[in-house]
Amino acid sequence: MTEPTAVLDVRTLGVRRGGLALALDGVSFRVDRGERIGVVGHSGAGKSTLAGALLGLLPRGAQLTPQSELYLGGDAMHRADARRWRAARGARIGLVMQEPMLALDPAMRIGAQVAEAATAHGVARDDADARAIDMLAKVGFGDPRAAARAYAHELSGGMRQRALIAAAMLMRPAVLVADEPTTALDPTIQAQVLDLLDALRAESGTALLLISHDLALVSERCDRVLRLEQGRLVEDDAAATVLARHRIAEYRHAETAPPRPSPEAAPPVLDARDITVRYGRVEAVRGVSLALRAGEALGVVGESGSGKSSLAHALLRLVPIAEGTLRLGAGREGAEPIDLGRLHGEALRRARRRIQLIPQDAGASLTPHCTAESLVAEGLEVHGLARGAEALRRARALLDELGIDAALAARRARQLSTGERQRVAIARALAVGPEILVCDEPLAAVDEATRERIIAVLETQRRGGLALVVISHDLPAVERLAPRAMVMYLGRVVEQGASATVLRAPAMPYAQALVSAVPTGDPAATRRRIVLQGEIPAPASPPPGCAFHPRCPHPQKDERCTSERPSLVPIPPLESEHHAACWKLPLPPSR
Amino acid sequence: MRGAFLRRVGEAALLVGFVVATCFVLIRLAPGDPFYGPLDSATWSAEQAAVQRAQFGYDRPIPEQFLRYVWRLAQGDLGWSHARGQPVAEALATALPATALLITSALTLAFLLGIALGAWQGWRRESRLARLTDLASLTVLSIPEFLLALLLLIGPATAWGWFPTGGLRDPYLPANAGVLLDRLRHLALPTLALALPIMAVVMRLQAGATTAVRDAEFIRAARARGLPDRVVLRVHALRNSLIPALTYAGVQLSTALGGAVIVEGIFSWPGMGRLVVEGVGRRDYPLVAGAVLIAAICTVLGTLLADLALLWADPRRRRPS
Ligand SMILES: Nc1ncnc2c1ncn2[C@@H]1O[C@H](COP(=O)(O)OP(=O)(O)O)[C@@H](O)[C@H]1O
Ligand code: SF4
Ligand SMILES: [Mg+2]
Repeated sequence: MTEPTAVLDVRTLGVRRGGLALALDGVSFRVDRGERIGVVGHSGAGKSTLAGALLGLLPRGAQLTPQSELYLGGDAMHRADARRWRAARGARIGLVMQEPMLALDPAMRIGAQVAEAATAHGVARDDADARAIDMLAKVGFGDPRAAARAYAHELSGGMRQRALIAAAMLMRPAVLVADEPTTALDPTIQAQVLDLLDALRAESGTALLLISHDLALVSERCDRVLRLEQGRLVEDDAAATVLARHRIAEYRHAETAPPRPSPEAAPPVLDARDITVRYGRVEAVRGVSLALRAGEALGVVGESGSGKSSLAHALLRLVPIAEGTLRLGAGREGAEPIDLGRLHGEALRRARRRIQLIPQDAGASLTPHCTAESLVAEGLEVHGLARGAEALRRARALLDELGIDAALAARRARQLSTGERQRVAIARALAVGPEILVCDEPLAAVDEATRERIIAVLETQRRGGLALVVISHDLPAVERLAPRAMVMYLGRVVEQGASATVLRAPAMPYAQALVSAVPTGDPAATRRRIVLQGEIPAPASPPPGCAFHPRCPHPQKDERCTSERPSLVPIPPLESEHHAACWKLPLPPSR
Repeated sequence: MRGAFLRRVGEAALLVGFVVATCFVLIRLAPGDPFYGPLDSATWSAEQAAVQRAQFGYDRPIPEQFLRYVWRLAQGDLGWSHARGQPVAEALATALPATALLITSALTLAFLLGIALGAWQGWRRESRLARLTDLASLTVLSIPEFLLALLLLIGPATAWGWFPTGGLRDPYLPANAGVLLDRLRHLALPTLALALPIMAVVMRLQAGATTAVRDAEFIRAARARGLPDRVVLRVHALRNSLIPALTYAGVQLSTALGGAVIVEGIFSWPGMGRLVVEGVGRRDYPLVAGAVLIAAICTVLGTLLADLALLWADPRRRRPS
């Protein structure tokens, strides 16, 4: 059989899901005790199928090919019946899934769900409950008893994922499979959760199989990386080697891109001053100002709940602007400068043609039974720019530019992949020829290839004179797309300036933490990382003084931080237009 | 919490009042009255009827009658049933338990069995047996309710003689000799007639909801913890798929009385259904008003019960404590 050290030995593993093509084909690798292995690949490459196969939880209609062999600590699981699988799952091999929002039973208390992992393997109820409480404390719940009594909807995404990790690690399995465990979480929370996984793993000697689409993240956390492509294992090497190979390919790609034009000091097309947005007593945006010229791009970053989407909606007057002014500059076709903040009815509708929004989850919000081309043509007709066959022709041409060919364009929205739908949503916004495009998380939940494609599309448009506002968690993408960036926290801008500075060497502690949370591929970075404690406070009652002070790790934070609010101040050299809000400036750059 | 509860009680009282008032007026607008019906005009002479009417106050304006009725109701007096020749309270007191027995046993059977079978069927959607139960529930649904009751009466009761054809119990049976068994024998067919159509609906609702939930991420997560399939179904899938059936239970708790009227008629079950039919036929104003009052209260309680069950099944509906 197998050598005694392998906790998991996979040989010529294949999975058939109906049809001829295999979802996994001849995958072989072995995992030793305590090893950290990354699994990367595009969406659809077979990563989640692999996770399912390793736990005997393949989706309905999928099955192992006859050649497949799967040894768990020497036991031939490919021949195991339901009972043996059940005994192995949760005890010898655990699973943490991608969607913490969906992976907890909404009707059962958290403690009971964690304890289940023990009772399922014959531990008595009382003992299991006690172990669950211990484990909840270990994964970072300050009050584990209260957490045990909570229901899933009472916890944030990061806390839910902690609870799920507690359940998966309760029985100290020999192998833990984590399938995109942090993809659905904020970058600052991601780092917390990955640190937690690593600490638990080290303590119990569990081997970790970390599945992710993010090679940089995986390389930081793992010794070895497996890369899947169309169901086959195409790379199995030391993490650093795989990353280096990838970097070279990426560098070649970047070299061919033409340099960016520097926009002249023309009057701005969009000028927003001191914008405040209120939802009842909640102030989601507090006095934010920004200006954009044609062909310029501005990145907006910050955790969920920092007010990014509310700002985006305010720029289009989709939510009422409680305070501040919002002006559109003189337009391309000689349109007059207008005070968007004061328009109503028909005038507002016409002005909205000049500024378009790609909302968060835009792809998901397309009417599922409409074809891609008709969805784009619809926008043209609504604004009276073209009708009938002409509208359809222009829609097809635009979609083609975005890499959606005629065959795809004729498909219905529900038959398209996430990335394709996202591009249809972009085409729909671009179709009416806006001067300003606001994109809210255009890269969330898309794989590497789609991400590149969308970045390329937006970049081309910007070079054509479109002004862009890009909201994203993906800091490296923001840096590529937008020369300027601003960081938001609890509705306020806390730092802004050139992306190269703000997104690499920011001055104030929150921005530093946000930036240090970005995976770089360097394992040493995890040690230098500033991991924030806790989560963003409720915007209804922001902390007094510097809103960041309860989480701020700055060693010199003092009285003043808790009582007086720091405002944005310029940081030398002045021509850099770098601003930050913190009492303890200037600080040495974090890296 | 307290405010919400009080508002709820207020709404319920308003609903009961509105229903009772409407029926109070409608039955008085129908032709005839307790002393002169199109069917039994021979009972009273015109003069006698007029005297009786005046005595019971039926010659006064309807709003005045209603106020008087409410006033007496407040003192616990439901009035006199002309058709039964006894106080309405007494008539209701004999009929209500019979109907309550019938409806409770029918709904319990329909929901317990319907949810269990439906959950199993939805979980094992692809199996042959599941397809068979699916067909069975569809068949029951396609038979009109009264026909189903008649079929049960003709088959097991009349032709094969397995069950009694009517009544609540065997009057010739000596006391304490197998009384319970006799009760059950009498109860079986009416219960079945009332329960089967409801059960078919419950089964289909539950099966659909179970199928929808069985591929959910949290089900997969529960399996990954090593729980056996039957526990996953019973603990995680069931509770998260109960909402449609529980909502339907709320509806049934308030409308089952309607179905009971038909079934009670066919199986000569001495319950509220028969009482109401008799009361309406004889223009027995106080009896009808009393019966409607009870029905409205049942509706309100039934809805409340179903809402509480929904709160239990879905913690997200609860207010943050
Ligand atoms: N329609 C709304 N009604 C009330 N509060 C809202 C609404 N939309 C957003 N918020 C609140 O405003 C704050 C900022 O949210 P949002 O703009 O969505 O931030 P982000 O896009 O950075 O995640 C959050 O606390 C959110 O709960
Ligand atoms: S002002 Fe104080 S609390 Fe706020 S970021 Fe600076 S050091 Fe931290
Ligand atoms: Mg958002």
